[in-house]
This record gives sequence, structure tokens and C-alpha cells, in this order.
Amino acid sequence: MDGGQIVKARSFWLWSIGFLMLSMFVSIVVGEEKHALGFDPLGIHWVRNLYAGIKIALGLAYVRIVGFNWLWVAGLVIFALVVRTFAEGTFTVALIGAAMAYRTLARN
Amino acid sequence: MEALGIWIRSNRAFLGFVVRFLVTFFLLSFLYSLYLVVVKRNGDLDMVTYWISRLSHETALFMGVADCEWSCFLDGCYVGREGRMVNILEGCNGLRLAIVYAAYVIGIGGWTWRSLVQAFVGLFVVQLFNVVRIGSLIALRDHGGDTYFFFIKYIFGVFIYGSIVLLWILKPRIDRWMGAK
Repeated sequence: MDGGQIVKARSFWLWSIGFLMLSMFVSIVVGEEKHALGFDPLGIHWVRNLYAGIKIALGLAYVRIVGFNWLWVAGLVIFALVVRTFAEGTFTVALIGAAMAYRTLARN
Repeated sequence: MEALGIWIRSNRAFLGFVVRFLVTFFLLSFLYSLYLVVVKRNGDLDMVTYWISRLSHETALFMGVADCEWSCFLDGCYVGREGRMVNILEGCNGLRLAIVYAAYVIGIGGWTWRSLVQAFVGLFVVQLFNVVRIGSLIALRDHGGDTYFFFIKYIFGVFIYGSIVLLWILKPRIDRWMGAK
């Protein structure tokens, strides 16, 4: 497979856990703001775009850092966005899953 | 065109994963969405949210939350002590996350009996993690302020997503345990 030179197991898991924790932090800050403000800040157009942009940028950085080339980075992020379109809150886990699947299948 | 053919052949394993993942994901999501439409039309609350909130209530009681109340409406359930209740909505029931888990298991292992058993059991295991998460949140909400609650909510958020990644990591071991070569 030609996705790139994936980092060693230890680095892969550290980056994956780090990405999961950072992405969750962003989501929970937004969720808590919703309670504090009394309305959903994601209802505001630019806030929603900024939030989506941050999540996608984090995802792009994660798959690039673990070693995928840019073509595969784009493909994996599109895959995660498709999954997230039909199941809210699954972008991060779908992206980690796709990277894990590549690593597992490339090893076999 | 030939280059595309070569690319597909060299990445056949991963493309197979993507196809199996998406087929399973869309099929399960469609069935669940269909169920939600039927339930809404009948004016009921979906059974997954009902059972997750009910079991979370039992977990909170088990953890010592006195006067823990539980009430369900069409849009979700409220569990906890009066004034410090946790709102459990359809999106909190963890089923969509469990569907992603199942799609990965079938995406990697194919439509074999081992994958199907793991996907089915995994749906319940993920829900179990979710019940412990929500039950603990209800219990811990009584003990701390907003900052503490934020911290705990964050940790338990990572806990439920981490449980899925952990189950994926354990998949090769589970396969071997189930007799795969």
C-alpha cells in the first residue's frame, strides 16, 4: 500500500490518544459553553465554521504526523467527514479507525 | 486509467475495508434512523435512550446518590438529584458510536461469524461503558463544582471514545482467542 511511511507503534498510539484528547477537549468546551450561554453557539454561522475548521485542521495534522502522504491525508479526512455526516460526534474516532485499519492491513 | 487500476490493486486491502465499513455503517445507521422515525411517529421515546438512562439511574443509586430521580419525556430523560440533573438525549445514548465500532470490526474482519459476534457483543460492551460513564457523571455532579464537573465530563468523554479504540486494539487478540489463525 502506498499511503506513506507510518510511524512506529508507540508513536502511533501516543499521537492517536493525543488527537483524541485534544479533539474531545474542543467538543466539550463548546458543549459547556452551550450550557453557560443558554443557547447553542454552533447556531452562529461563523462559530460553527470555526469549530468545524479546528476539528478538520486537527484531523489533517494527526494523519499527516503519523506518516500519511498528502493524497491519503485528504482521502482519510473525507472518509471521516462522510461518516460524521451521518453520525454526529464520530469524526475523530472514524479518522483514528481509518488510520488504525491502514496500519493493521499494511502490516498483514 | 491503467495507473488507477494499479493503484486499486496495490491498495485492495484498504479499499475493501472502506467498502465493508461504509456498507455496514450505512445499513445499521439506516435501520436505526428508521426505528427512530417509527418511534417518533408513535409518540414514544426510543428504547435505547430509555434503557441507557434507566441503567445510568441504577448505577448512580449504586454509587450512593440519595434521592436520585429519573424521568423521561419525548425528547430524552433527566436523571439525578433535584436541581443537579443530567439530561440524557438520543445523541447521548452511544448507539451511533457503537455502530462505528461495529462497522470497523466488520471492515477489518469481513462478514465472518467472528466479526459478527464481536460486532454484536461490542454494541453491548460500548453501551456498558456508556452507562458507567453517565452513572458516574450523575454521582460526581453531587460532589463538585462546575470546574470539577467539566474535568470529569472531559475525562469520561475520553473514556467512552477510548473504550472503542481499546476494543479495536484488542481485536487481533480477540480474533486469536476465538480461534483465528
